[in-house]
Amino acid sequence: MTQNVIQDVVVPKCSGKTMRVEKGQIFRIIAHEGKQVVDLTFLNADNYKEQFAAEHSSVLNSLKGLGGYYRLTNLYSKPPFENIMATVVDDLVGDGGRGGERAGHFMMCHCSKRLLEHLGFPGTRTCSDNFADAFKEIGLRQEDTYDESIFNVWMNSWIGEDGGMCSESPLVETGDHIDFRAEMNLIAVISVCPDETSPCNDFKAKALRFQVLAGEE
Amino acid sequence: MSNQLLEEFTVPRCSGKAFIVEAGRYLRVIESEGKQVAGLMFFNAHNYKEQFMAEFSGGLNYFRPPEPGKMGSHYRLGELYSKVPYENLMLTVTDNKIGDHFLGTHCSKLMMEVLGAPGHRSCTDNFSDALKEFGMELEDVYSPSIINAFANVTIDQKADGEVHIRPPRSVKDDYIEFLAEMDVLVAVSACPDDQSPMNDHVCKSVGIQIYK
Repeated sequence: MTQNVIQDVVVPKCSGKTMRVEKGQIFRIIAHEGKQVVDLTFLNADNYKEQFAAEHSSVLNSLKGLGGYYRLTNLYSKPPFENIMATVVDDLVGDGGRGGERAGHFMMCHCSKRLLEHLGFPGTRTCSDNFADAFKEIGLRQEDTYDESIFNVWMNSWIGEDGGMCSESPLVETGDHIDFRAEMNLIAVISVCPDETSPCNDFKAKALRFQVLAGEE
Repeated sequence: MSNQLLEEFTVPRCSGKAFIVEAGRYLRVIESEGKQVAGLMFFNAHNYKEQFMAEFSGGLNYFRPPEPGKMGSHYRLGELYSKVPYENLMLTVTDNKIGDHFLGTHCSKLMMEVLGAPGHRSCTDNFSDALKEFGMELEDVYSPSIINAFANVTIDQKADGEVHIRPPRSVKDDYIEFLAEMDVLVAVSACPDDQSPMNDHVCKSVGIQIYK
């Protein structure tokens, strides 16, 4: 099966970007250079107030037996909208194809200025900077968005027994991909995570490849 | 502590209420009956765009120097921070005997459908009612990032990371106390979920006290 590739871009390491995905199209993320996390959120392209809500989706997927904080099937928008924005239709890592005790994604916040200060790396570039740059492309300010509640694709982190966040290197290998089917017209907002202080990106920031594919008829 | 009680009221079962707590004052959220979750949202009273961000605060607490792991975590918060790009300290937890919190979302219209109770009242309705008094619409806030005070909910450490909801461990008169580090607008939801173990299957009221 050859799907028609509509967009195909490599997003450089440590940067942010937005991409438009029409309803029915497939948004594909490809591990371009190995173990690298992408922090991802979605906006309704026709109403930017309708934004993806990661933890809310985790609980809804958990109650439906379709995932949890480490894997999602349905990506819901925040209340009061609560629409399915996208569906994960191909997820090798999340489905256990690369082993691991967990599905291998993380539905939660991204790295920020204050977090890196707490971790002892003040002044380091963070996903906050990437998201701010990305939102600017569509005329939004970070004050008007909720980018802390995101899909950390291939981030192999979990909440430990004491409620603390634990991380290991991603399970993903070069060439692996994950596919999201757009259930409405979407703006995908991307941060290619710049963290090199933790195992999150295996201590080295890398580029990632993104494609938009025509949906199957 | 001999603080002066300024205000005291009850948030009736299955309802929401919003009010201002000035900087330097203490807010107590009290189990007036026990085993009841209080959903709590916070805003900078002078800039509603500056909202408390729950999960984000969990990470900031856990990694906070000088002793990482001491200040708090996803289940027990010591400091409440606002969302990016602000990242300011909004409130500090000053008394927290029970210690159970769940940082994350609240129950919603869709969640009630999934739980088999379509049309059932949810925290979405409570927050929507409460914030209306301050001219805010739920579309303009990020409601699913709250402290669920007294909630006994955990995230599985393995597999898909499913949520496990258990009845609260709190009993009558237990409370959590916060010190406001800025003037804050507080929205409280006495969680109306009787479909899951969240409130031990019976919805109850929540007590509020504000001290000087």
